Amino acid sequence: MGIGPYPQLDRLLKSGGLNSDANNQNPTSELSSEIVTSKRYIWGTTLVVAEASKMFEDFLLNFTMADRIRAMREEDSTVSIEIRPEHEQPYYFPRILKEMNELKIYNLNLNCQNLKSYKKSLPLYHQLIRYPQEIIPIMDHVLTEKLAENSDDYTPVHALVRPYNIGKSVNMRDLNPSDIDQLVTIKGLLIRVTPVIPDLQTAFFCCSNCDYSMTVDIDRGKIAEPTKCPNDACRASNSMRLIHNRCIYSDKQIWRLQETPDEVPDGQTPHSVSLCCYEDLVDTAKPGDRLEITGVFRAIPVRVNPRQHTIKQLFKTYVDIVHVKHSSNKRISIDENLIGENEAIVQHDEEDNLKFINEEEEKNLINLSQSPDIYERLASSLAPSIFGMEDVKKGVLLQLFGGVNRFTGENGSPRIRGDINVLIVGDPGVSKSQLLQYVHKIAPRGIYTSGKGSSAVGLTASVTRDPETRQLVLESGALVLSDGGVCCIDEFDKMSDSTRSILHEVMEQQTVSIAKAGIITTLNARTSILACANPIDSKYNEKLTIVQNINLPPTLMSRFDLLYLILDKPNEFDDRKLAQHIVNLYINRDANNFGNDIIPVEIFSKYISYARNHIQPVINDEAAEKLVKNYSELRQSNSISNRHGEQKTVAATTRQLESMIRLSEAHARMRFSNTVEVGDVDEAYRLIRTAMQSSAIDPVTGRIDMDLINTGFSSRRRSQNAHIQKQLLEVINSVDKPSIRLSELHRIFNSDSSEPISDIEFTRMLDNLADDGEILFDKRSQLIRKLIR
Amino acid sequence: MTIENFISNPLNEIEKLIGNLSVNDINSFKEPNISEIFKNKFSNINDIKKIPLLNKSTFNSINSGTLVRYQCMIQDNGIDSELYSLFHLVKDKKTNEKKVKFFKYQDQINENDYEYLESEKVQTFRDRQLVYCINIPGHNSWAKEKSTVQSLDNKNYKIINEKFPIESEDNFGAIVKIYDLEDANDLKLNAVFEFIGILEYSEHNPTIEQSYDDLDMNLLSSYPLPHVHAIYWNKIENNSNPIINNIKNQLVNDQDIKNMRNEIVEYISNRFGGDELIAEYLLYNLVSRIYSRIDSLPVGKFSLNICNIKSTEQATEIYKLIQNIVSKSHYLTLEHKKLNNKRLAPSMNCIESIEQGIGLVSGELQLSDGTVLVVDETTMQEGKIDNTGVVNISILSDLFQNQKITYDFNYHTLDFPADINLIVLSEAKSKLFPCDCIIPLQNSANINQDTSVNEDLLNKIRGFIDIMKVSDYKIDQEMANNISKEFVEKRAEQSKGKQDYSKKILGQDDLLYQLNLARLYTLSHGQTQLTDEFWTNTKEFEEKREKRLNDYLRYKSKNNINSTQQPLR
Repeated sequence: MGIGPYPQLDRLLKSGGLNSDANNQNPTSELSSEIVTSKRYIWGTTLVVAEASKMFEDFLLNFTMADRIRAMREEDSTVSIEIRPEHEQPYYFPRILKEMNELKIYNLNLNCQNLKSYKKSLPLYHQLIRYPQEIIPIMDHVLTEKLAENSDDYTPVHALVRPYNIGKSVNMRDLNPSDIDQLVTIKGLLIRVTPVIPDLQTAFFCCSNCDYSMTVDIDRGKIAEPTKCPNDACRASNSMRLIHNRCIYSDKQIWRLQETPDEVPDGQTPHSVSLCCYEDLVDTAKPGDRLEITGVFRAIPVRVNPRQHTIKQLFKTYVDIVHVKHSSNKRISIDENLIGENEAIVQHDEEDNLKFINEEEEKNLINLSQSPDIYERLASSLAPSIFGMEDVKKGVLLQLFGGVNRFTGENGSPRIRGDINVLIVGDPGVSKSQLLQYVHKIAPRGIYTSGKGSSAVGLTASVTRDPETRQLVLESGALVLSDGGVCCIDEFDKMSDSTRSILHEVMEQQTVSIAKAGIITTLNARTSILACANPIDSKYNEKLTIVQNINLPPTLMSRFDLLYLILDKPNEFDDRKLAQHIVNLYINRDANNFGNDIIPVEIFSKYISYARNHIQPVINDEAAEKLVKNYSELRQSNSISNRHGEQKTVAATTRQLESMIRLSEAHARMRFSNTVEVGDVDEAYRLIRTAMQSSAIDPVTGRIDMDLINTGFSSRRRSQNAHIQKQLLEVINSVDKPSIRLSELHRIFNSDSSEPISDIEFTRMLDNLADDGEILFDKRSQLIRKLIR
Repeated sequence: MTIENFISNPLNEIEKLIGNLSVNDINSFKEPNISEIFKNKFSNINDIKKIPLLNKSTFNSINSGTLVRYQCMIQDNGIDSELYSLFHLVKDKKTNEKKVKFFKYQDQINENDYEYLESEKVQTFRDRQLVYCINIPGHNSWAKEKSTVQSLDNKNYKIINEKFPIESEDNFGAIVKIYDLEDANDLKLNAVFEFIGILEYSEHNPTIEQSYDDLDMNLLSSYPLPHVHAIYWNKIENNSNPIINNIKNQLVNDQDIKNMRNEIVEYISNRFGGDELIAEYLLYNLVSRIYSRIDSLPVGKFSLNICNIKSTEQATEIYKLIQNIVSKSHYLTLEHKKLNNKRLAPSMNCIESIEQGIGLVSGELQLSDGTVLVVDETTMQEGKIDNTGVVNISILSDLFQNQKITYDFNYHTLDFPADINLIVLSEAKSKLFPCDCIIPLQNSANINQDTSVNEDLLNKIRGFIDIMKVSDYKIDQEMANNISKEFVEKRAEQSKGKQDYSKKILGQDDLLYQLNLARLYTLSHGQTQLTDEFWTNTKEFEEKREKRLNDYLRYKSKNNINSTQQPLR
């Protein structure tokens, strides 16, 4: 006994219609596999039953995957999926039908895109969307027949077709009267499930006088209660009693689906919608699941009072579910490679993945990735309200893209992480926290936590007893929740040592092991960590070495791919820019003074998800060579310790090589390139070096040369430097003295030039000029001499 | 005369506009723009005032079907939209005539006069949005529009306590039904509106039948709550202060403004025993608001911590003073029992029942923009704070830092931006809540209430604050350049000479704070443009405050040493 959401129509089709009913003047359908003599329309529609069933039969027998691919190509010429011979095989017949018979599963998940791309069934697709209540039973009927034909042992079954992927999904806020009785797809979060409700299908009545019994089927949600005993001998009125335990019921459940947070407009509370599901679908989802529901939007009138048939002008709305899809693995766009270890993907999902994002969006993203300054643009779009810190932003940007996760393949060997960890150590008041807040907002599965208020269990997982069931349950902590995303930890230095020590495992093995209260398990925590800390005395102390200042155990420190030192060092040039930036917040109210190049947050996060899911860059030979060379260079420059054997700079280990690989991969990913080239490696190397300010460390003392710190240095300016350098040379040559003091020259230059230049840059340019042999630059006396030619 | 008809029986007027319809007219029916017609009818402010105001005290005397004005805050806009049919066939019981009835702005018909008929033929589906509105939380009594009608007979309706942020005698909630869906997106959570609409309620609402087949999870609309069918609405700006226009007229020339400001500072400082500095900073706080938001950074927030408060009595005295001069304020106490039991931030309840609240359950922090929230730390006692308490404290401190409140929707949370003027009253410097500005009360200070209440002066203060709060503000380019120059020089100076690592050098936050202070200083002087004079004065005040704070901290630490040494002796 199969009961779909439309039992009355089901039966109408199966029993051959209601033609015998004299009161019913509607042309109803009689469906048999024999030749249909005259066109029969379903009442109120333009549907011809016979045509629809023929179309569906044809589709079932002849549709091939090749049709789908061809249709996709027609729509979008950039699709480059090859048609392989196996694609030319009919898709549903006989393979899937056979499987259904063997497995005794009589539900067919029908991907509507297949229906749409098969030319001959295109009208059926449109009819399905418009008249699902009529078409779906027809489809069920055809499928049942086909199954019966192909089955050896004929047992009457009722197969159900469950259409999904209808091509567009509506926001539940936008469901409106025009959607009534149409097939719709809505996405949302399941928040509530009722207990299973027995839904009366067939009522059994018995006469209390003569024990004559009869059954009455439900018709349009109503049971017509017999007022008289149909037994000719009895004819007693009002004698029929309902016998509960002989009635036939079906399972029914009411769900409540709520809007997902990303779809809620500003200043609105999430809306929700009621769903009805029947039979097989009951209990297929639990509260908290993200679902994509395909179903029929229905409205039922409210009665004036429960005992009357007259209705009011009010209606209750709900969706009759025909298909449920768990969309949890797609929602936050975790690296798809990650799935597969211990998560199962439903097989029929794969074909959806042929097309995932809307094509136009995809094209825009690809166009965006082609722009030459995409790296700079993305970096400056990251937390645009924070001024400067370009290299930090770049590092964090690459962290968001991440490297490639690798499974070495052999059994038991661990995967190699592609996640990049970043630590920012800085003076107070350099807007570290603000950066973290921003990343937390934009990152997929971003979690924000503060070291001060976090406990070890809060980060990993705790075992608690459920107050209702008294069972032990695991509650995931921040690191587990951010699996596949970014975990932002503020005030890293304020964290207790024991808490910090659990990070060792997370940051390299990317798992969290728990052994508590009889629960021994390992949870995945494949997360990138972005942490912030203050130096040991809360302000960077120049008298101490860099390692002493950071004061983190080297075991932990080496697990960070990038370690940024942000020092609040007054510097006229940057300070002025900063001040202007801040004052501007008060001058322009709408404060869109970040420039037009800023990529909006929504596009930004889409860009990142797309890159993470679709670009898997591979390192080419030259890049590999370059990596080796850079690594040995890095290792040499860092192998300095004083005579007490105390380390003064951060040591380079093989971890740094891995970091470099990850960063190069992330950089390639960022520009949507499938190969890692030398340019990517160069940038990765530069980032690693600038990230410790390692170029500014005095190798003898291990201290940072404060004058060389340039946190606000703009790399866009770097490209303009050649031009400015030329101007500078002209200025020097125009001076009528043979030599000039640095400060004086700087003043003259800045007063002439349209854009002032910072001290460091200025010195750097002079260095360059001296290297080129254009001038003599004596650093000790701060004198610049002209070359006499 | 017609105005009165429109007020007393608007449905009748609407019916006249629609005219008599027959079943065949339905397809070609063109709906007149009813809200436009009503707007035009009530274009005159005096006519609007004739529409009765809907609130708890007037509700009992207003008949169902009357046009009302409902000033309220949107408490919950997550209620399902409702589907209805624009027309329905009814039978007039007196004449036995069949009639097509127009069902916009109306849910119920008088069952003595009419009877519902089967009317599938005329079904025309429309949807409407439902929002649940409550009286403006923290609305101080002086700022409320006075309504004269009072009556004592009680009507049967429900107050769902969970849907009100603050317990109050005046709590009154109603469902507002919105028909113009294009504009419905403006109806943001916690915004304050005046709806003009038709009141409808029924005393004998059908009891809610909890049947198994209950699809109607839209429980709110099935409770016996008053409904308002909104015809049109206006957003209430300016903190719903009724006297603002009078004051505006008084603020014409500079001298007037100056005088008025002096009066205000004098008034406030007198309450603090002549402490002008506190008066200044309190005034800055009251005229502050979130000016713009960049990313998540709220520009313009100015949270104030008044410390060195000796007792809760002193704190309540300060609150009384504030309550008297701002239109919306709330006094938040921090007893640990309360913190542990009730959530401060609103949250969604999945299991809907009348006991636990329906839909979005309110919390004390669900306040409309511009409300002054006074947090009294002196009410904290010794005790243990549990899970809920910790969440509450962290939500509150998030409000201080980012001016946003995280609402819990069970399986996820959503951040709602807030714009609340925050004042913390504490004994020592507040450690729980990071404030932008800390100022200690003078040791000798006595808070004294206004003995001779001068309504006129109070009104001036009230109006002045609300006007300046929303005024525009400019910095010209030259001023901006000077400020940046000064900042650069100061930093350069600090980095020169001996470097003291324990001392923090001037940073981004300091500049932001100074600029904000300058803005508030300027606005509190009734001006909209920053001048050199204002900039220097701001710095002077700031120096005074810092000195007082440092003195206080030094005094405090000295006392602490003494007190710890005593047991040794």
